[in-house]
Amino acid sequence: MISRRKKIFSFGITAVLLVGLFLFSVNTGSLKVTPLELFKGLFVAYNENVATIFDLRFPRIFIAMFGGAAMAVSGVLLQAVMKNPLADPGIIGISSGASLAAVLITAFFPALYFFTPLFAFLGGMIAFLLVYSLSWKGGLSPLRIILVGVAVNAMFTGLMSAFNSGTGSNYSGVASIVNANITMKTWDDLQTLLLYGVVGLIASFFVLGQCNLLALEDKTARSLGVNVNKSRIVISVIAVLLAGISTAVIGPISFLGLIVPHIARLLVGSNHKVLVPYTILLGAFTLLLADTVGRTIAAPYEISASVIMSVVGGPFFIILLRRSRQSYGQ
Amino acid sequence: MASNIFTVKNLSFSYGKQQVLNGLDFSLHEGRITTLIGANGCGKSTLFNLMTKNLKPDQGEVFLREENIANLRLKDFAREAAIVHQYNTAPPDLTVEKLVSYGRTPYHTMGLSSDPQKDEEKIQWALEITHTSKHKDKPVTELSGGQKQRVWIAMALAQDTKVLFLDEPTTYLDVRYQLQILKLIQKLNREYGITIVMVLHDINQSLYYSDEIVAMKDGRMIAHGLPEEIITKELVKEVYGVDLTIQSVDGKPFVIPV
Repeated sequence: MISRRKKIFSFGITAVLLVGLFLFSVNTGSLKVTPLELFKGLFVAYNENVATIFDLRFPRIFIAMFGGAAMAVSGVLLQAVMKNPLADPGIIGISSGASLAAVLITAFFPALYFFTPLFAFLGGMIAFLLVYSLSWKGGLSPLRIILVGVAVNAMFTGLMSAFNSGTGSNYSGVASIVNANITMKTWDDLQTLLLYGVVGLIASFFVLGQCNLLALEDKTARSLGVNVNKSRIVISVIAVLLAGISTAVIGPISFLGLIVPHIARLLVGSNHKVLVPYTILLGAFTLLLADTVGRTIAAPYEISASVIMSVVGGPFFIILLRRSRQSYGQ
Repeated sequence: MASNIFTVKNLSFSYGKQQVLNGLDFSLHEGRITTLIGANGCGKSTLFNLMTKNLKPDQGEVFLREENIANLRLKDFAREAAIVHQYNTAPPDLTVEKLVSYGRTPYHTMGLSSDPQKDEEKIQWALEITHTSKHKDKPVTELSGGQKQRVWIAMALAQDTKVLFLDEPTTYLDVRYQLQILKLIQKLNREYGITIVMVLHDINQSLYYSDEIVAMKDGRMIAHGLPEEIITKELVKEVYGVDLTIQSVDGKPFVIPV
């Protein structure tokens, strides 16, 4: 059992770390300013360095934080719906379905650019329905979902790469989605992400109680008056929305929706009313950390956050998979 | 004569081409303990699931008093009847009190309670009557089998219903815990007037603790009534397909299962 004090402590520490990382990240790169200069530049008087940082680094940092939070919450919701701690929007193909849709829209219907997140959501929904229906065999086996998901993911990722290579990587917008590159993001991108993402995050707060009840056996949840199928659909749609929009802006990021909820559960327990708010903090922290590490570790070259997440996430996933054999028995 | 709380009319159900229930008709009396008995595969579990809205009948209806349960929303049904299922799981860090509080879900709208004080009263009552108060801060998963079963019953009791369904509540338990559970069920019925409908595996426990027995075979009901009136050597032979001796214990029939 995790005591109340320990949970509050986890929240506090993570919030402090997030603020610290934010300040570090703002000041990391070829331009450097002191915190005082930064404060003055933002709120008091114009400062060229601060203005540059404001235009280039701030959107990127906020996008990393918000995208990370959305992706991680999407993971928690999918795990609740599928009763599977290994479900992750990246691994089971939702992100790649969403990015394929975003790629196609960006390349063929640039006029619809503003609606890219909606199309990404549709793409994610198609991937999700494929995985769900293909792995249904009188019930959902945790392992089958992952296997089918990996296949669906491979297919969409393949289609996306094929499109990118086939067009000679001509569409820079396309390439940035394919490579999950958040280097050149602007305040407009952040606005798009916020617009749809806030809707998704607020919606998720209305289904936390249902997520808790879905952890019981389906029959038991039904006997408490919960329409289990309806709950599953609603929660899934919110999860896919969150994964879809963040993918549309930052590209497919794997393992984030897996690692963050897992660590969050260890720290604050499995009650979704605590877990989801904490996941938002930790998700924001984790993706910002990955992005910041990615752009400092081999400066002046940049390694994308999604590559960092894959390198760290792969081994983590294998550890989880090995441990889950014992507790979720096949 | 007690009034009817459940009425089953011409109920049929099949899994694909396999007919499981075939035109069942009977009524259950309010305030009684009724047990469904029958050999494996006789359809008693299917009947249980049809009566608890877990399955939809192919034909026929189940009425809760005057109301066809097919027309009741799950939430409304959950305020009338609580169900303890045979197999249950809980997340590793869910405490007993928290789990029991889930029993108040049917009274919440959008996750919010209209009467938190009543919720709290019912939760504490359910914990006390099942003797699980002392474990209320422990995780459910750390309890013994008998304690766990009492916690699941407590959650159902927090639903504050007139009817309690139990699907093989004593399976997987040692005989000591089986008796604890059965005595608890009896107490709920005698002292709190809760109508009990259950499926039990053990024929003698069924006969001893039930006011009425519904005996089933091949998807049909072949006997319904007081144990001492309906249980005969012939009926046991028909239901279970074996010749067994019947004796009387405390005025109740007792089948020697050897």
